[in-house]
Amino acid sequence: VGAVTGQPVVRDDHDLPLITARDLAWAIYLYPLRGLARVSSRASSALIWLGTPLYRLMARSRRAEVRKLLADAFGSELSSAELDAISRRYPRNFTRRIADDLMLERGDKGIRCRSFSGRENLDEALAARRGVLFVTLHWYAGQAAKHHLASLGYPVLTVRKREIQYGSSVSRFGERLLEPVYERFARAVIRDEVYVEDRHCSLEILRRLRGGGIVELHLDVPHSGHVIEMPLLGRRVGVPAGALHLARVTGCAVLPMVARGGARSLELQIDPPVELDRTLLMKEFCQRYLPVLVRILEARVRERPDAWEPWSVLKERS
Amino acid sequence: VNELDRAALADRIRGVFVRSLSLDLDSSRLPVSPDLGSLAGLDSLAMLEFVAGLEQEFSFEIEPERLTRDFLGDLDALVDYFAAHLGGDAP
Repeated sequence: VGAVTGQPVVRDDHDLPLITARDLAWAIYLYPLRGLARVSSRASSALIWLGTPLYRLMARSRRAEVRKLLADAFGSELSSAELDAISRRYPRNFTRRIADDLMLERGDKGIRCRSFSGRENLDEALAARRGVLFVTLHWYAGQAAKHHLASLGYPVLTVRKREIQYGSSVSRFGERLLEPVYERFARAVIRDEVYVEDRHCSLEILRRLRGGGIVELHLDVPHSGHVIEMPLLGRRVGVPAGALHLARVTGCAVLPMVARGGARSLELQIDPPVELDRTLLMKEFCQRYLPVLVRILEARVRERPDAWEPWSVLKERS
Repeated sequence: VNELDRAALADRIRGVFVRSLSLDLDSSRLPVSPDLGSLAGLDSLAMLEFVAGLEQEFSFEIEPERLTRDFLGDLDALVDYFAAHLGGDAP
């Protein structure tokens, strides 16, 4: 959570092409497809059906990267055939996620929850009235899970970066016309959110937790300079320690949360609260428990590697 | 709460500010009534440390509606608030 520069990202427009195929694809997604999704629920199914082979074609090199990252992370645990199978699912999971987003922008009516384990963990933690911190990773079904939880009476505050989520655009068209639209779209999908760049971010989270609410923090994105280096799935990365700062200050319960499948086949899992000795000094507290949280979530990824979205992010951070 | 007590309270708050943010600074060298929020480029987590430090120092939880940068950055408002609480005259 929240180191703040307060400075906008400055990019040199002159280096950017006018438009790229990738941005054209996003333009089709954000305008005609999104418009169709508003009038027909079949639009998102069509997107998966048509978009998967198209994305597979566009992201051939990405798939090879994902396969290599999987191989690095799992070593001999996965056979070559399994690595191929999992990396082949990556384009489909991606198109399913963006199709889910089209649906979630309009609400949670289309969500089908196949299983929800650990609801009692959440209820017990909320009953203590100290707030609940979901520590999680970027699962493909993460947004669907939060919509589903909200529909059950468990609204979740999302903590995220303000910047565009599909990645910085690589064209002038994308930067000027698509990124603002995508940003508004993402806000409509997520709904209940606070930005790590905001200087009041931690206080907003603190208020929510003190009010007995739920806040979600991702450990697979280094939000700020407050990180601890440690191995995650075969790579050494900076894991943000903000969740533990919050946990120590507020006394809230810390529950690992996992979301698998998609909006129409959601599998939600909330683990029991992680036992924390809050008498430790902050530095020692973070150094002792951050690896514990990471190990729990890493084990969840190992159970179903294709449910975790940012294999490619790992590469950028390695 | 008399002026002497208010000055002592302000000193305690300044002390918490310096300690919780691990500033390499003597708290007595802070301005008499500084805008705490603008000092030291307080980021979001630092504000959290300050809240934790205040709560530990005064042994009670600050109400959620008070958890704003404006309030936490205003030394006079903090002195009024803690004086009211410690004097049993909390708003």
